[in-house]
Amino acid sequence: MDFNDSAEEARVRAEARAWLEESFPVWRSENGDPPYTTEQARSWHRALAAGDYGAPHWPVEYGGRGYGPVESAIWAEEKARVGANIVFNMVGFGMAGPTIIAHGTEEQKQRHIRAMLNGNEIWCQLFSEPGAGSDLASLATRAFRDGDEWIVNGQKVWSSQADEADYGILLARFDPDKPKHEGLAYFIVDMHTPGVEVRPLRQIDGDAHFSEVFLSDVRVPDANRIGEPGDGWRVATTTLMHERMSIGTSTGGYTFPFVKLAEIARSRYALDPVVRDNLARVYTQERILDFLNKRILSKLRRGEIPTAEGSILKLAIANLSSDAALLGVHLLGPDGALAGEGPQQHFLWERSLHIGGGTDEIQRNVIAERVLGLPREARPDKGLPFSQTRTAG
Amino acid sequence: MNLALTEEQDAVRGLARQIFDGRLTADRLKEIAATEDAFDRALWEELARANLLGIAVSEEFGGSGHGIIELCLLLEEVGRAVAPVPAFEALVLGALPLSQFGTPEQKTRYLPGVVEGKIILTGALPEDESSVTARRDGAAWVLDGLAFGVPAVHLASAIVVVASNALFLVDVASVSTARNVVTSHELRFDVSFGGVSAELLGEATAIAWLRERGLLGLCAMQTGVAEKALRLTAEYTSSREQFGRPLGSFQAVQQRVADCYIDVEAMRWTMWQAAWRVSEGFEATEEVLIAKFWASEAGQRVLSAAMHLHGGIGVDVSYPLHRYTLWAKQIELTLGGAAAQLEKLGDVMATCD
Ligand SMILES: Cc1cc2nc3c(=O)[nH]c(=O)nc-3n(C[C@H](O)[C@H](O)[C@H](O)COP(=O)(O)OP(=O)(O)OC[C@H]3O[C@@H](n4cnc5c(N)ncnc54)[C@H](O)[C@@H]3O)c2cc1C
Repeated sequence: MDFNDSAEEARVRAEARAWLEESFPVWRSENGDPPYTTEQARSWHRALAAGDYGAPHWPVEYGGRGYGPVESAIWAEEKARVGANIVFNMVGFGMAGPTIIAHGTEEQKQRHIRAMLNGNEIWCQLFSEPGAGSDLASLATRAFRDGDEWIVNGQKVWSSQADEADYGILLARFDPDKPKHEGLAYFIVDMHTPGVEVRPLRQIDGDAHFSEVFLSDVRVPDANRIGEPGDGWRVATTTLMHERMSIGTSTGGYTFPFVKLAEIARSRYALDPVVRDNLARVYTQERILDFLNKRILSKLRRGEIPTAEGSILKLAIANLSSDAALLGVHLLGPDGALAGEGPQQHFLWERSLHIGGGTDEIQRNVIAERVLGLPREARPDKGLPFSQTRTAG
Repeated sequence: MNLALTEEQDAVRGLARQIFDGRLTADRLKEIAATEDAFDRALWEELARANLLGIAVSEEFGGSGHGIIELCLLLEEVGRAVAPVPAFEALVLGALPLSQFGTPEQKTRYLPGVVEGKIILTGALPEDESSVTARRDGAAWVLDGLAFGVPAVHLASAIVVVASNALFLVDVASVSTARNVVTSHELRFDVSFGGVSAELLGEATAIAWLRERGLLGLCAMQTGVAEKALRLTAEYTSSREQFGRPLGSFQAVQQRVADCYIDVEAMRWTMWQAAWRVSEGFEATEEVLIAKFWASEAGQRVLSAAMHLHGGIGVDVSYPLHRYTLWAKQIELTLGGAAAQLEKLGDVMATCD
């Protein structure tokens, strides 16, 4: 066991740090402080791509550096260190890209991977539906084969960034007579295709980060299918695993930073023992996340697939993010009531991390059933053709 | 002992609920939220016509002469409906101290207008020390300094102000204000008293008197907010299905909803215990602190659970739940959150024999 960088890892870190220290301040001086607009985030992404840091975890042949999980984590740490962990095209880099690399055709890879890398394509995820959230596999959007094309009809919801997206990864049902997981197909959808209508939804923080997406007779070329028609769920599992991990490893973007929390505490309540306790408590949670990340990385490095770890990681980061936000609001005293950036903004998002990417309960079910081997929850629709389930009826 | 409401109290609650339920549709709430001052004037007038604004004002000034319990019943309904009206500000922070400490002339000047819904009052009541100072100028009083986060100033004619160690009444027209927006999208004002003249309402004991009632009013609203959020959650999880069964049939959901119920009951009964003691004129410091502790901490817990159990729809503003979350946080933070109440309660515990 060794928690320190190896010589090679230290080299990767030094290289990343040097590059960031040279490039980030230049970009920053032109763009000021967060929050950044999509266009600003895109311009930072392009600077990254010019330095070969657009998606260092991707294989060299697709424009990455072929970083393994440990190198990727080092890169993420170094970005976070200087505040350069600006989220851009999270669905593209964190979910669609890895899924296409793992399951896509060569033609799909050529078409999209480079374009994503260059910052030219923003992606969204068209999975959840009004009737299918936690029970994603019961989704009702239909895809009918028509020659070289599929015709898609249905409604998606909570699709983050769909209003800005160029492409979406779509899960749709092609055969309702198969059991729910087996009748699904996975597609790439051009969001500019006729019949795709995006209606932004406003959230509790006043912004519209996600949308409803209505699909009416949308024609999708068969060349945009990822995996065989019955493979939709298996392909989606890859996406969902990457989703959990990218939520879990993106501490900087989703939680109120500990250093800032500590700053507020120091300036207002340095000697209050209760505040000190609570601050220390949040700090221990943050450290736990670090270790969880390391465990996942070391597993990946040994060629094993982390399952429970992704769920634990997502639960841990959601808890950390709530506790940090609530403590931050509390530390601000009456100012915590005011609308603004800072912990108040994180308070408004506090619940979202417990819901998006599979809720807390779903992650706990994964741990209980798949890791600890507890009996599976009774599922009345198990094995039934989808068309005969309550959901379909 | 009898913890039941009287027939009259029941009627107050029923009347208030009927008015709020009748007027405040989801669309109406959206419409009001989009207006500049976020105030439902028509609803305010209807409350006046039902004589609910005069619930704790003496009959002499047109009110119905009830007490703090009836006022808390009304405020609970305000919370339940997340009603965009300054009931807490006008009736608790403004009318209560005026009724208690005002001269006959002051009462005549304001109270009938409050009862009729024509005059709105508010209060600048800080959690602890006031940052406003008072000095004598001959027979008159003059105030200086800033009061932060004062609600409803844009609607009010007069502000009850804690300054130095006493309670004053100030005409809104004489102060200057800077407006802020809080997380619930409501307005709060930093009020600057640059040597404005003020009328003395009461001495130091009046501040404690008002703070006790302010805390109580917040607890009553929070009980309504949490109770309604819980009801929405129970209904939603009973009707929404995932995995071929209602969400509410999953034990993880049931247990969490049941815990919320226990929290709401704790909020409710700590609040009534304190309200009853206040209304009987008993010492209630401890009870009020306990009630506000529960309102703050359990309020946050219940709303967090309610949001969570709704999934994505809870975050979406086209569904009403988010308003409850935003209100609960504001109420929690007003006049001190859970930690502040515990600290004060700790002082009481540690220093009594
Ligand atoms: C900020 C945000 C961004 C999102 N972005 C996207 C996106 O880009 N693309 C996309 O496709 N989707 C997206 N989603 C949707 C997200 O994946 C779903 O909200 C989530 O899977 C939960 O589904 P639901 O909202 O329908 O809640 P439901 O599934 O209805 O769940 C409601 C409640 O019931 C509980 N519950 C459900 N099943 C069980 C069970 N078996 N046992 C115990 N409790 C249970 C849940 O934990 C939850 O508390 C996003 C959501 C959020 C909040």
